[in-house]
Amino acid sequence: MTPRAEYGPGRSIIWLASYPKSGSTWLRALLSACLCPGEPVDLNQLVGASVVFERAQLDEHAAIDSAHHSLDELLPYQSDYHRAFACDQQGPVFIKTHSAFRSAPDGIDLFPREASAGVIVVVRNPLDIVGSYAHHEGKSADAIIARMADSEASQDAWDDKISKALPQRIGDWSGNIASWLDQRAMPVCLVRYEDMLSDTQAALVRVLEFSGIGQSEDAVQRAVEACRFAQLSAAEARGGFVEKPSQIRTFFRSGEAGQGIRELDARQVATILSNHRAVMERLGYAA
Amino acid sequence: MRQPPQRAKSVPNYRVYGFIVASDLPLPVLPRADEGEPDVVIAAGPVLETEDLRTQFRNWEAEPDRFIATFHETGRFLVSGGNRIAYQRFDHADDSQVVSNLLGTCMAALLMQRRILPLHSCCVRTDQGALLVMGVSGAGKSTTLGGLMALGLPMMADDVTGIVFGEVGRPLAVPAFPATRLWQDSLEKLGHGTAGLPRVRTDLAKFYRAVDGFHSEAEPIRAIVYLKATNAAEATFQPIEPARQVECVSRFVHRKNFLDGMDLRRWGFESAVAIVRRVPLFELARPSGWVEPVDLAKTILDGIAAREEMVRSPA
Repeated sequence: MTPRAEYGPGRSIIWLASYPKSGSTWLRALLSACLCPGEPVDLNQLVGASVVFERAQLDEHAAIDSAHHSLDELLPYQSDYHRAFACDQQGPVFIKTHSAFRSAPDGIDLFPREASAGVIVVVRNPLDIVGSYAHHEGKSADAIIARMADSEASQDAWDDKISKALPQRIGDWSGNIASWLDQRAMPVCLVRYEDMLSDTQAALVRVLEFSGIGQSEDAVQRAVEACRFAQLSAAEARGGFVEKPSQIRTFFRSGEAGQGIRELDARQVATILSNHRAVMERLGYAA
Repeated sequence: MRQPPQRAKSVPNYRVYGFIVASDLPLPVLPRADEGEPDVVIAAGPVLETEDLRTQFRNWEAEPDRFIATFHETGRFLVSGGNRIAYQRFDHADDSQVVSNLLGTCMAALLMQRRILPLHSCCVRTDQGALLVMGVSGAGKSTTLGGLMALGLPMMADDVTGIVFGEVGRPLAVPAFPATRLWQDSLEKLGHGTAGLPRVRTDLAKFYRAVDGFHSEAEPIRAIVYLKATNAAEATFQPIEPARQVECVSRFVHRKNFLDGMDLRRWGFESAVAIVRRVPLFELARPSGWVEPVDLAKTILDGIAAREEMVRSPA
């Protein structure tokens, strides 16, 4: 039986958790097209923005200078903020994150049960992530493969400067995904990017059912049509996209499955398999 | 009438935001005040746990003339009466963690209690008055401040400027202390090293850097600039339309969430209104990548001068 998000007093957030370049933006576009039918998909106004990871918001809530705190020190403040934020919302509120599911030594969860109705975990074959991520970051495949194996990997975290977004510990690919699948704070809806490609409508219906959002078949079909890769690429070309990596590189590439195995050499494939075999097998990617 | 604070003898006095602070904890970079009685005392002491926080999921609570906060791994702090900050340090917290909260959040609460509006902005003095640049953390205030100082303008505040109202309600900028807090990255880009500089936190590459040119007197405010980073390729500088001005200033009141609890919402709003009545507001949208600090500073100064000229001699 498909699990369902568990709403309740204060439990209004559905996290859209994914390792980078795994398809969460596409899912956000699909949700936006579904929830705002009749409006053109605006890539800069997608459902699921990372609002709770804005540094200024946490600083205001907790009365801290988050720039002066380490990632671990921020966790209890963020946990409180997520609860306060969720309390003020009518669910479902989708919030994207690339963070792993983390807990402090004293048991405080970064994504606390009291705030969380559920999580949609979007996964993609790591062999395909490499090329997409390398394109996004402007780095080599080897650098990305190393990053995907780095359990300390973080986003928006530097020793010597700050960004407007709070730092997030992404961790390594396997650890990131396992942390979400194995947590017990909230129900999980696992969505494979490859399944979104092969039957977008079915994948979207599962997400909507999990989230408790009723939509007609027509509405779902229209959302799928509005979010074909060609449409999203055109929207990016037309209106820009704040998450695009640079003025030169585009955010959306081909979106194909199986591209990675063609782009990587045998050594790189072997490294990825060796680093991530257990979780790949768990997700049906290692066959 | 505010009562003079009690303090232990032989504790050093410092000057900040126009008043004198006696502190039993050394406050790096604050100038010593050798004369005068302290207006504020900072001292270690028991601060009771706040079990009945009125607002859920917060680590602080504010009431009229009283602010209390718990900072994880650091300690509990009580700011009261506009003249006292008590701190109870947790085990393993080092001085830099405590000082960081004293000079940051606790100072904001203290300023409010003393009816000095803390604005999240850096500030320099120009010949025509104080120039404030406000923006969220990460927008580039420190970089812009570096550029303004490189043009020879003395600093008044690096991150939070105090605002009071002088004769006939004229808004005045009150200087903070003569040091900037800069990330190593910014220091290096501004051509400075980090050798010998005290760290803001022992485990962070952010440093206090004493500034040579510091203006220590309150000044009428010439202009306020809202700085934001954008995707645009070129910087744009323009006046903020009147309908957005009060909201814009209100948004940058440092720790503005304290105002409600301290029963100061009305004061905060009236202060913002009084500021925009007398002070021109501008918006600088800068490209998010690296921009030469001096170029940013010149864009601001030239833009303000052009506007002032336009007001003086309308076409």
